Amino acid sequence: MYNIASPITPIKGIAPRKEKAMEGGKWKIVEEFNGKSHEDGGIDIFVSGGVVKRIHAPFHKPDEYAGWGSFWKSVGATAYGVGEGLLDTVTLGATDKLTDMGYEALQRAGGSSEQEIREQNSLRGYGTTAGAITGGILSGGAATGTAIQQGAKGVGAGVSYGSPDSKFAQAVGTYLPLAGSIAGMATGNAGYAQGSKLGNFAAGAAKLNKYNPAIQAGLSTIMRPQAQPQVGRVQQGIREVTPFLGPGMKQSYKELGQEIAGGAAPSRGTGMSMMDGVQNFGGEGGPIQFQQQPVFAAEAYNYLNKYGINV
Amino acid sequence: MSKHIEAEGGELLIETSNGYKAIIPKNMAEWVKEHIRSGNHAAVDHYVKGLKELKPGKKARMGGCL
Repeated sequence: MYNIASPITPIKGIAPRKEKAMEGGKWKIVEEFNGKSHEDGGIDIFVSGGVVKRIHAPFHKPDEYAGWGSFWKSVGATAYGVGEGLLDTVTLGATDKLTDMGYEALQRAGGSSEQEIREQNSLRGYGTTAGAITGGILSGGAATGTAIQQGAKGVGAGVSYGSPDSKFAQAVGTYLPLAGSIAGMATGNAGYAQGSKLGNFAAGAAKLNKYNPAIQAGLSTIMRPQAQPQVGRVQQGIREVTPFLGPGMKQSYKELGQEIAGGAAPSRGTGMSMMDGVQNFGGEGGPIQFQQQPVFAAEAYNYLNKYGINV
Repeated sequence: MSKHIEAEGGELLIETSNGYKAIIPKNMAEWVKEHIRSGNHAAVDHYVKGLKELKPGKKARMGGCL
């Protein structure tokens, strides 16, 4: 689906981004580590851009010891991969080329070094693989109570329809993990807002569109509701399950589309059968705050409970 | 940037809304928590900037992840 080995080309219209200052943001506690001291082996974690995960590596010497503290930039390609997955969902996979271009633009706009770009390319493949439950966090904004509640409903709908014995699951078949994770997009403690990297990406993608006939052709396909774009198996699976999405989930999709579009997308009509009614990019839309969710109900509920949300 | 880091119990993982993450050593964890609770984010900024920044360097040892 994605050619992650494709060369990075300069993107017209995207200016290099200045280094983001640390000051001015709001800190929050992600995790308090409980476990062994360094003397007893410590707690092994793997960090890369926005990804932080525990690993089991008892026989590997770590690259760094966090004993004196450390920090790093957390916006990375995996976060983008989550957003791209959503963009793909909204457009049913007809924008692969567009998202490739946007991905490269994002890297350039983000001032990534060549090494970071190589790492991001690897991560990107991981983040956009079917069934990837990356837990990648999109940074850039603080969630509002309203958005959280709306997202919580969306997760409830997604999980409900995503249980293995449901009609939804049977319809999706082997595509359940990806479809479930997308259906489970919810508000969380992080997200992206207008002006953020992903918000800017949407605007950047619109600029790219002007320079690339192939993208123009792709968008033309999207703009015609009667057209049947060439979609991959995963997207086809998602298309098949959209009739089973609940109202809360559709509302989440609507907000998502508004945020991804950044006001620069077509006002209406994406070729998404059964979704046209909710895929209206026009009108007002606040910044959607979300985080990729686990597929399984218990995990999703536990996650939300962590943030005091009961669904 | 990808790293295999060894943390330990009592340390804190925090993140900011403008794209940074930090691991706070356990002897400062309570101090940082108090300032976050009280909304004194500038103090946390100041402290975190004094920590070691993880930058692209040698390849992570955890082969297979990347």
